[in-house]
Amino acid sequence: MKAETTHIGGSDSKASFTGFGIKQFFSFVRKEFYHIYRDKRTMFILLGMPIAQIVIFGFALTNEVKNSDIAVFDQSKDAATSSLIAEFDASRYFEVREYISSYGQIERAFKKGEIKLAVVLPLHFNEDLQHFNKAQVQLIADASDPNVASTLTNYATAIIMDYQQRITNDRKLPYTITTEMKMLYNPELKGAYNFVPGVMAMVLLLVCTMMTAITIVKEKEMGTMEVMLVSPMKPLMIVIAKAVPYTILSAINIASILLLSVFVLGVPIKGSLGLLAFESILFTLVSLSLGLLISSRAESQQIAMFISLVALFLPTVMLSGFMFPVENMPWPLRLISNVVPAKWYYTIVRSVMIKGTGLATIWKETLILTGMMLFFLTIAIKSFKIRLA
Amino acid sequence: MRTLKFLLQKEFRQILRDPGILAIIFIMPSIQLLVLPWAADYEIKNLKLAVVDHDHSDYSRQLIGKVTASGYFILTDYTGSYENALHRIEHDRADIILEIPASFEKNLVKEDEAKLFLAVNAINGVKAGLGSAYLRSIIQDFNGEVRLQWIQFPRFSPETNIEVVSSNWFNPLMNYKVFMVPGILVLLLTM
Repeated sequence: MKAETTHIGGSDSKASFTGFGIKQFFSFVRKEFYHIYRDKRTMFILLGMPIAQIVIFGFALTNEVKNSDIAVFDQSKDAATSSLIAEFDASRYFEVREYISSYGQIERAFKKGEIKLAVVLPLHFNEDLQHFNKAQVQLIADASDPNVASTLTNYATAIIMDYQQRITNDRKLPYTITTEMKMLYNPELKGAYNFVPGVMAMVLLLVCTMMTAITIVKEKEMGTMEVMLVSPMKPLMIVIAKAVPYTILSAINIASILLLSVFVLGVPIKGSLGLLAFESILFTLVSLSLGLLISSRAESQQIAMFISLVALFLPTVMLSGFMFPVENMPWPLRLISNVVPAKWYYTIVRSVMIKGTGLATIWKETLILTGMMLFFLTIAIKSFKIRLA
Repeated sequence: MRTLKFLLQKEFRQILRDPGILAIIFIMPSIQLLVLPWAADYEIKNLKLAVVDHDHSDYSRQLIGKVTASGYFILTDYTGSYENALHRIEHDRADIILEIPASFEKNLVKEDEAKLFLAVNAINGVKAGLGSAYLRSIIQDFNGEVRLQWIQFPRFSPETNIEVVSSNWFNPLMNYKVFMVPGILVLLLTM
């Protein structure tokens, strides 16, 4: 294959001087496609990855709380407690798993990991409620996961308050402040709205950066780089030809992620699809230039892979804001998060796809991404070595 | 057995000879274990709050003071129009809008009932759920204080009231690192 491309390059004498022949360029692009197409397993992984990630994040990695197992320690066993327990069981957040009869058992159930919350109803619950108008309920949550613990406590408190409202026949206390609430953009509090933009950033970065980083180093390792360098193509064109197939692959990936998110997860695209596509291509170009930068520096495939994993994938997952809120991190990490391209892309996708806003709100992020692309591309091309060691 | 010994020797030499691999084995995990728990923090705090105050009364100021003093919210915007605040949410400069309607104080004192309005950016469902729950419990507290100013509750409360006491076991300070460090250890050992 390589011999053929150089031959084609050589046959057109005019193009060999400039190195800009369109025909030669396309032969190089075709060569790159063969590389990808021949390696069926890699191609399968590249195209299947977005689907796998959407499925994993959509169905396994949700932080939504539903059907959590709880234990009830009912000491008074009267009419009031049994209707309160029925209330818990009926809610879709809780599933009464155990009725226990001593404090010791609560700890045992927690340690076995059977329950996430224990509801303790004291002796004479109904009596206290009827005679003193006042009764206590204790909620004990397993706070080894703090957010789940607070969410469960909140839901349980809401259920108990509802129950109280009902037995007092909605009589309002004097001087009451009622709070009305509106959840913007995602009224059902679905997890998907948050992670679909994140998965897009992650997949694009993985496909573009890691694969381009590996492919040039692979040529170096196999010794085919020499052949390409002595061909009439300019180094810049060789590099661009390498990037073209991955851009197309990422376009397919973006399309499949968007289709899955709209039709399987029910996350709508509120903003303009054209703007979303434009921004995605911009981010693809940033990732590609990063990949080229890595590949021009790395000596072996192993190192290229390692650099893209540690220096790119990890910061993307940790610092782009889609898994962990950046604003809570200590300031050094917040500072670092600004140089992670995925953070800006994630903000853009969230704004365009879910909030439905236009370019007016994201021009700053777009400028930053463009700047990053130019910066990485310049360094990558500057440090692309024409001579091999 | 002797063969095994030589093979082991060979493997160890291969590892020790390459400083790159040594760095990967020893330095990377310790850095990750030191850095990741700080980054991998799901705790919800520092929520950006935009207040739309149509009332400008003593109570509205007290309420805002109480919310900002909680430590969970940072007051990023204080305006007179909801549009403005919504604009802030679109630009990610606010997470929650608290709207205090005109004559909030008057309604609370004279009509026995006043309304507040919350609008939450719910793209991150967990953040929205917890953030609004924090804000509501602060409002509840404020409500209790106001009530105490106006009425003296008798020893036995005239209205039915169920008191909820919650406690968090195994991690009483709700420190997220307690949750993340085991997970990171698992991750590092697998890698």
